[in-house]
Amino acid sequence: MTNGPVDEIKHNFVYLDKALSGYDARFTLKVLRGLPALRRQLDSEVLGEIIKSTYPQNDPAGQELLRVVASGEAAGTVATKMSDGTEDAVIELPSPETDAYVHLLVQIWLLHRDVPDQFYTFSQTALAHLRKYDRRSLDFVVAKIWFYYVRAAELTDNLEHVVPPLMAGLRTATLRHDAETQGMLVILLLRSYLLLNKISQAAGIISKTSFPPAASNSLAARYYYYLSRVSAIQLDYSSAFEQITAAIRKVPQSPASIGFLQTAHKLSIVIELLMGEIPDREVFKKPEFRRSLAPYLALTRAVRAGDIQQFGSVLVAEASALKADHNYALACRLRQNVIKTGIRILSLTYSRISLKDICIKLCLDGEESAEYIVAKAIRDGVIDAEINHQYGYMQSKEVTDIYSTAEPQYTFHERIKFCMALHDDSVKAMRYLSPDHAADLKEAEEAREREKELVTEIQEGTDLEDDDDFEL
Amino acid sequence: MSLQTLSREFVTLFQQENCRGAAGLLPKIKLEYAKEGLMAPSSAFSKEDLMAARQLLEMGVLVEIHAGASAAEIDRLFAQLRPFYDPKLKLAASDNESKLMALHLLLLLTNNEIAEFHTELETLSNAENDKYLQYPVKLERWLMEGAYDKAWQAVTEKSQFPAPEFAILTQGLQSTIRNEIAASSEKAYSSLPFANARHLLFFTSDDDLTEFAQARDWTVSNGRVNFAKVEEEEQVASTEGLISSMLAYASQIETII
Repeated sequence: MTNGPVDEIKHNFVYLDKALSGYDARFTLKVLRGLPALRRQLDSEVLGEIIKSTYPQNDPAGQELLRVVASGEAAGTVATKMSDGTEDAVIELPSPETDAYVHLLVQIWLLHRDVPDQFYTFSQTALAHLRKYDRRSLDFVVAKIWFYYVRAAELTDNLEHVVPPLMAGLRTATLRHDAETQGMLVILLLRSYLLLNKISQAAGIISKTSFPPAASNSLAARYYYYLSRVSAIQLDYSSAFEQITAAIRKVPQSPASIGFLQTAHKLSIVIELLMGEIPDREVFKKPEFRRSLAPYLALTRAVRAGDIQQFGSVLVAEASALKADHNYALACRLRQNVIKTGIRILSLTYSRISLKDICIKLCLDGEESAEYIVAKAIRDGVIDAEINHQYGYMQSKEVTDIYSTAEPQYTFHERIKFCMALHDDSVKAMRYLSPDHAADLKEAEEAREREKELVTEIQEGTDLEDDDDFEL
Repeated sequence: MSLQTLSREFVTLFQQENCRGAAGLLPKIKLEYAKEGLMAPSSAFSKEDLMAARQLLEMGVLVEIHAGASAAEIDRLFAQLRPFYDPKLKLAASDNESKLMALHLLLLLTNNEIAEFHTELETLSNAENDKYLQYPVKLERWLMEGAYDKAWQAVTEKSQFPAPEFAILTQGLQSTIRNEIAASSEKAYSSLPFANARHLLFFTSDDDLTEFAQARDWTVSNGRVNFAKVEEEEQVASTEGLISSMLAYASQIETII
């Protein structure tokens, strides 16, 4: 057995303590960032050793952890007794941070061992155990533990049972101004509701809670994603599109978040299509998206062409992929957009076209339907045209010059607004040193001064000696 | 009266199609159920009790629809019935579930609660193929596309309804469809021959159309219906708007510098 992971975990304990003493959450975040790499090295031996060296011999929490780790291992290679550890010295109770971190490690280990029932029970005990602590330095770790708790419930099909504890947790977190846990819980609630198909409850959560602005970006990205999904279901496409764009922008641009980006882009494409716009081709071309977005590319092509038959066949062919992404119902709503695009193309191509031809070209069922559909398109502002009922044709009106309207002004305004918001956000996101750093700064300044003097001295000195050295 | 006698009487009235009488009994039965806590179903109750309550509420919805109860009242009944369809209760699936869900969707559609309609639809998986659920789904699609002739057929022709209750709920939709057509026509035509307009708006008599035209400020002359032109909205940017956004930019730049 290598000592690598054990040492790393112990190193992380030091970081956690540093975070505690320095009131600096960055160290905790650093530890959590190391989790994905660490999780592959975790095994029962590593965990056993960590637990034995961290918890006092007869601490109930430590014994419980050891029992879980040992029972997870079928071969029983881990001794359950604390006294089997080599340490003779009395170990002090671990700090709450370390305690929570060890619990989190065991959770992750259980998740990857594929023992959902055990994972779920342990997650429950872990949460109950950690509830007694009330320290802000714990927030990030506890938020993670909540996350794995809900994941466990999802795997064991217990989702409807987690809603009450989540609600209680949310209340506590809100009262304690625990932004990270609060944000995490809001997301978990939304996720549970959406998975349980309780969309109106999810909408209720959104309207009744506010997402803490202090929560981390990855949480905010997920929050915006769920927000967008709910808005899209409730037909509020323009807000949905804003929210999904925010989600895509907020997510960290690292390879680890590629899954989220793919899912978000899928939703984004459907929403954009529903708004009557065609998504950027670049999105489909990216190598990391090409395969996962293939069904959506087919869908986009059908909508763009305004071909109702092609659309129908794509919907049938890609039904399983769309259903797996929970986007099927949204995609079905695109039918009317396909017709509208078709009418728009016809209106742009012909200055006058008979209703019968429209009917044939768009594969509509009857001339009468066609007339109503075109009339509605005119009313919805899709096309600018007039129908002549007696002779049965549609006459397009002259295209007005867009630069004579307020449209460019409006678009320009939107862009300026976006740039301003970006500027404001970046100013807000800047980190400033805390006041007690001023002293350090002064010292550093002095040191720099000294250094400068030294440098000039040396320079002067060398200048003088230059001539001698040159000869050598 | 005990619950059993009440229920029995209710069922008899239902079978005799005496809906008003049955609707009168419904509140009493619900009160009895509430006393037993059955209005909040949980697995603590026996399956027989739950099934009986579910069946009774299902009948209740149908009865209320026939008795011409208000939409809000029917909506409330649906809300009370909903928990009984929870798969957690592990009851045998009700034969009427899809029919009642379809009626609920239709009710949302008549009240023009489209967002709610889609929220509900999202929770149903087999909407495309179900005999009952198909109806509101198709109707919504036709209304959204603008295929009003099909929508009109769906709400007026008897053969189109999967069950008689659907006919009662769609009555409100007729005027909605007509108003939609009128609104589209105002934009799409400058004028229409009287007979054609009557045909387009599905009126059977000329008098009805004249009355309708008056209500919408249309003028009828020379046997044509002239639509009042809706004033084009001001397209040019208003000076005030321009000034205020310029001032906003200026103050923003001020803060940046």
